[in-house]
Amino acid sequence: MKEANGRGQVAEGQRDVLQDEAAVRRTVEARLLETYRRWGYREVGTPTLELLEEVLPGAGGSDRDDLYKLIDRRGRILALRPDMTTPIARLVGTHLTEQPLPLRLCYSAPVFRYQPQGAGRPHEVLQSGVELVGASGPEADAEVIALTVEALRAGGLDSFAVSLSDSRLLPGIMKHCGVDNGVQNQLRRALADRDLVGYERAVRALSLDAERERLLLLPAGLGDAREWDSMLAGLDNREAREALEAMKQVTALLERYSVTVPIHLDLGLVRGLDYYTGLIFEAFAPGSGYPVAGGGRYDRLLQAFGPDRPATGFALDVGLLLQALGRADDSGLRRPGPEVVIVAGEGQQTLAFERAQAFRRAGRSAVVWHGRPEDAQVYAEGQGSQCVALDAMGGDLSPLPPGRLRPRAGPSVAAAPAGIH
Amino acid sequence: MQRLTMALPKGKLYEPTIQLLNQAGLSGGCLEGEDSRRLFFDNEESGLRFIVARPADVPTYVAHGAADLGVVGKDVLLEDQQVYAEVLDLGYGGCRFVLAAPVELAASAAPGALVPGRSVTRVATKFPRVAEAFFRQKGWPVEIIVLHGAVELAPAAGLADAIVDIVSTGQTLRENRLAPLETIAESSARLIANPAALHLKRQGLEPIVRRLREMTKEVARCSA
Repeated sequence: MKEANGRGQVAEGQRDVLQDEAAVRRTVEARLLETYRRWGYREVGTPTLELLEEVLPGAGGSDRDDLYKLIDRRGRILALRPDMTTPIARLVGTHLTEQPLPLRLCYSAPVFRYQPQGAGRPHEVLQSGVELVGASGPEADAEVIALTVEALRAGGLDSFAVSLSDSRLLPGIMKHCGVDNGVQNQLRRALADRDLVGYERAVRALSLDAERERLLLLPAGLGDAREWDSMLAGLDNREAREALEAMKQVTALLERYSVTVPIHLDLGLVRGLDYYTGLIFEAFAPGSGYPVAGGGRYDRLLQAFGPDRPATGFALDVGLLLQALGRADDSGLRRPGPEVVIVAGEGQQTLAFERAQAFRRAGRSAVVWHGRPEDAQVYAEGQGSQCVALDAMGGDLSPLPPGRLRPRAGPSVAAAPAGIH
Repeated sequence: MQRLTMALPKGKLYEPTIQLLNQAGLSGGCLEGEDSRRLFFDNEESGLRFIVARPADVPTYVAHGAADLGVVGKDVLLEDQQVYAEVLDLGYGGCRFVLAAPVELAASAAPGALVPGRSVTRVATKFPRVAEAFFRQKGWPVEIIVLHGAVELAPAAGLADAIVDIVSTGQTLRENRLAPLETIAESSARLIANPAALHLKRQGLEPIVRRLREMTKEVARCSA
């Protein structure tokens, strides 16, 4: 580790990405975007810097303390975008109001959020995801979840689980049980922190009748769906009953999608952002306690920017996905250094450049050695490349057939996914 | 069968934890006393593996998924910033965080500040996060001095005006002429779980959690 002398340091929560990881990341990112494309989603981009009041309209955004804020030359407060959903809602509301619905949009971009000190989480996260705008109902919810599963698979993850809930369910249960607003927030926060002990304590302190207490404790339980069914049957809250109905329909639809990953109903699922209005979900990969992907329905966000439209979507944390893949073998996703190092003799420079171009046209990587010829071999070995001296080719001007090179581990450049070239 | 791992804490929670696991029928008798040098114990029958770690390391094993479940005191969790689900209060290993000061000072302490006439109180503790959160909420200006042991020495040695420490019987405080001023938080042994494992290994984890919940309730009923 380098001495902390002020040089070579990066800002809190930031990091460098070295070649192997960058290659894996790019490959995974491309595969995700390709998956969205095949499902009919088109990529959009939004600014990295947003006007604070635009990116967080009326959501008490200015007192959020997890935003990177700066001041522009006119004194207005800017924020590095903390997520993509709100900027895309703005993009839709200002530019895409005339296009036929539903809109299927996708993105892959870094987002920025301060994390608690010592939590060891990056402040810059590469988010990849989709937004399905102008479609309500369980079909749209199920499509987005099925696509999440497909994307995680395409990204290389083979073991993960999806948990499902509805943002109306917990408030509905709490209202039914007569919990006042202050305690509702306390209970919500306990579940968001996964503090089931604190949740249970707070519920027991409410002095409810046994039935209501049992109902309120459901979200903290590890969850036996059969028990929920009978408990929730007596629930007279309309929103909560609608939520349950929607969850059932979505689960049934996902079966028709032949989604094979485990999907659990999780009444304790609370998503951090409060713009959700319906079905919500998270996907977990082994190891990390943070969901690798998550999303849900946000039917009231669009009206802040334009016509009121229902919408749903998901965001996937590419960093967490890579971390999960890192536990498996990701060597197949790496893209190695140059395949060939061409060493030109005296007066052979033109020939060397032509040779290199021939390799490149064939989709292979080649560099022309600029240093002392005797150093080329060591360099090539260090890169895992093959060193080729032009002298040894006997001035043969035809492009080298690929077969002349020994095969190397890993996929050839030509095998990289579409969209890279 | 899903292989599951549970991290157990060395130290004062170790024996009661083993007792609980034995009584719950989860250990299959594989666990040995703390004097054993082994750090791994396998219940061959159920596929449940136990690893023995320092209490402060239990949350780390669980947060990273090296262990699916862990037993650890709430006092450790309050100082820890990692993610895990806190699933059950196991009830034993009770202790509390207190703010304590020399008896003379404790008798004269005024609300709003600890030492009359001093703008900043010096507080020694092994638990800076707990102490900071407490004083922030109180609005008392303090300087936190982090120590790694024998915190009760600090006031007598002139290092600090007061301490924030864990107390179970209060014996150590009395021996050092310290008196508790306020209880900051209660602690007891907790069952924690890796959040991803709760979803991915639900089938295996559910019966274990349910069994421990039953046991805990039973114990609470008997002692009530």
